[in-house]
Amino acid sequence: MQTLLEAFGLIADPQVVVTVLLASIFGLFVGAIPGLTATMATALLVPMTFFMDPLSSIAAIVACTATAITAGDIPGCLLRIPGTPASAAYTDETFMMTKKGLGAQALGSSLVSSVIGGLFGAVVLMVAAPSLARVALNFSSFEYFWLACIGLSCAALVSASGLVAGLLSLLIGLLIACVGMDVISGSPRFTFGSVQLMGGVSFVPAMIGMFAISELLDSLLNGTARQRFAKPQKITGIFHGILPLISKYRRNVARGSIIGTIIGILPGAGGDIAAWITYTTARRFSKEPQKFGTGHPEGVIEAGAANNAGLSGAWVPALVFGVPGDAVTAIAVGVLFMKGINPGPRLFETQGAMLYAVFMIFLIANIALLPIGWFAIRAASKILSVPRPQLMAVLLLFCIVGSFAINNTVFDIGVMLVFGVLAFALSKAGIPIAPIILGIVLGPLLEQNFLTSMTIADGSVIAFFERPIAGILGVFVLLLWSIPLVSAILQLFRLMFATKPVKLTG
Amino acid sequence: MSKAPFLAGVILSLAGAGVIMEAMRLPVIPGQTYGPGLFPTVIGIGLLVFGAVYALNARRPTEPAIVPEAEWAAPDAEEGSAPERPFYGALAWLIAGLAGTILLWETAGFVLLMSVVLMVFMILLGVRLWLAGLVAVASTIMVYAIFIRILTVPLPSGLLAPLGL
Repeated sequence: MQTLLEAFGLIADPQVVVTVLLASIFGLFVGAIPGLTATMATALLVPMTFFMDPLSSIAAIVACTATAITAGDIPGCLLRIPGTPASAAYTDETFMMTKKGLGAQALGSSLVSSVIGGLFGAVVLMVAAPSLARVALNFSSFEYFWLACIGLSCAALVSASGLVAGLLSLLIGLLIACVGMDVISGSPRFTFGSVQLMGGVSFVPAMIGMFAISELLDSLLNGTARQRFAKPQKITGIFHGILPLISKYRRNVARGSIIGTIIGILPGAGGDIAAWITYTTARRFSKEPQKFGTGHPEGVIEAGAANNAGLSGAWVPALVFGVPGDAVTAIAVGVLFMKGINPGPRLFETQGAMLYAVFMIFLIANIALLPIGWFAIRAASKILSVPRPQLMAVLLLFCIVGSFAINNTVFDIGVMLVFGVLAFALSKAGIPIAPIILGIVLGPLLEQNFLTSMTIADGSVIAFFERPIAGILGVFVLLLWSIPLVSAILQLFRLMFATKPVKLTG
Repeated sequence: MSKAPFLAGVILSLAGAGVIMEAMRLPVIPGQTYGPGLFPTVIGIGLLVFGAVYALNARRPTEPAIVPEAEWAAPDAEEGSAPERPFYGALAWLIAGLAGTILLWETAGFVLLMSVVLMVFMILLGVRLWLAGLVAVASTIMVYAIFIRILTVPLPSGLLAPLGL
């Protein structure tokens, strides 16, 4: 109770309130404009958070991403261009609804289900995180090693571009994490004699490069940099008749919220994937699956709830173990580290009030989505008519200033440029970018805990399975790794049997 | 079509080999089985192997990806209005401009440098001269003021220092 009151005091701070409001507006803008993603919004926000206290910076990230993901539905619905990848799963569906004259219903139902999903995820976070933290207090380096393994494995396994591409992306991230002074022995690795690289690759400029600069390069090469969006129709009355609709599809809301939260909690998978999966489950369990794809709200409601729920759920492993659940929380964990706060179970003892304040921010940000989302939909045609060249120029300006401001060195602008070009080239080659950040954040965790464990165990691998929880986690990791192996073997068998008849006939 | 994945696979595989070689040169700590070279070596082997696998997969006509990835790809490009030609000029300027920014950061100063970089960038994208100039100068000065005054980031004043900016 004492901590709750303290938490209330913390969020009543005007700085926090103003930050949440500004971050929401920023998120709304970024989410509603296609090509600017929620992750990019977070990366650009980080230099600003550098000048805030830890609570405000986390609050800014939470509010910004929640609104960005929700606002991402708007251009999808109006123009059939998803504003953020998380809306891509049901863009066609909402666009069909708009064509049928149900645009208001599409946006209203996705907004309301987003709010419910986000709130559900936040409540799970509030309940699950502290109790998980109590368990995690007894974790040693063995458990943390396995947790980092799970995070990395999931990131590669659920990668939309295939396992090998996901793995490559992860390895690149891990390699980047190696740059700088080795934490155990202090010997410099891959610094190429550069003093600037001794402390490692600076995280924020790398993020800005990978998510903003690469996006700029991409739009220039695609020729979409000057493209104006079609003027969307004005949508009014989005809350009209929404409650009956939501209560009709309450099963979908519930399922979307639950599945979304679980996928969010899973390290390495976030709202984007949750939306794809729940859109599929909605169709599978629907009484009228034939209506999907023709402008039917069922899948929109379920997936709309899921991507916001996933966003909240991703914070559970991030705060409890310091193992981020998705790209956004990976950045958030990085921000906390920079502020000298190490996410992990101890945080719940030492910074209890602050964590409860963060939880409350989740509730507030999600409830605030209703008016903010309403405003965004009303202003959609204005937001979408922002001329792109000017927008990109201003974006570029913020990228440069943001990269510089972290350490006040020009070297970091170079880091931003290099990572921008790198990420652009990789995405052209079909390699996803998000696992790279997970690699960068989880790399040191993995290495330190492995080396510590090895020193404790005196080189014995068995020790990694001796403690009960470590044993369970270890077996789980081995099972995870065996999935692609087994499927590869099966595929090989199929190939062998498939080629034989060809040989006979030939 | 699959040229880029093939090339990327080859480059990453070669990079993996380089990483392994570099990792071998890292010192071994006496008395410890695993030194700072262990992780880079593992990562190098991973890059070497999976880069090769990726390159080989790219050469095969059938893509083994499982998830409906086609739907993820560039949403802007897919829909509606005819895509315009690539803006090679703006692209080259963006990279050259950033490189120039890094080199001239202290000497030319933030406001001057950014105004020029942004203005040319917008002009290359077809924005009218006066509008590009206005947006570039106004946004640069605004950002400069915010970062210098409120966030106390030492952005360089450079050549415009005599103006008291």
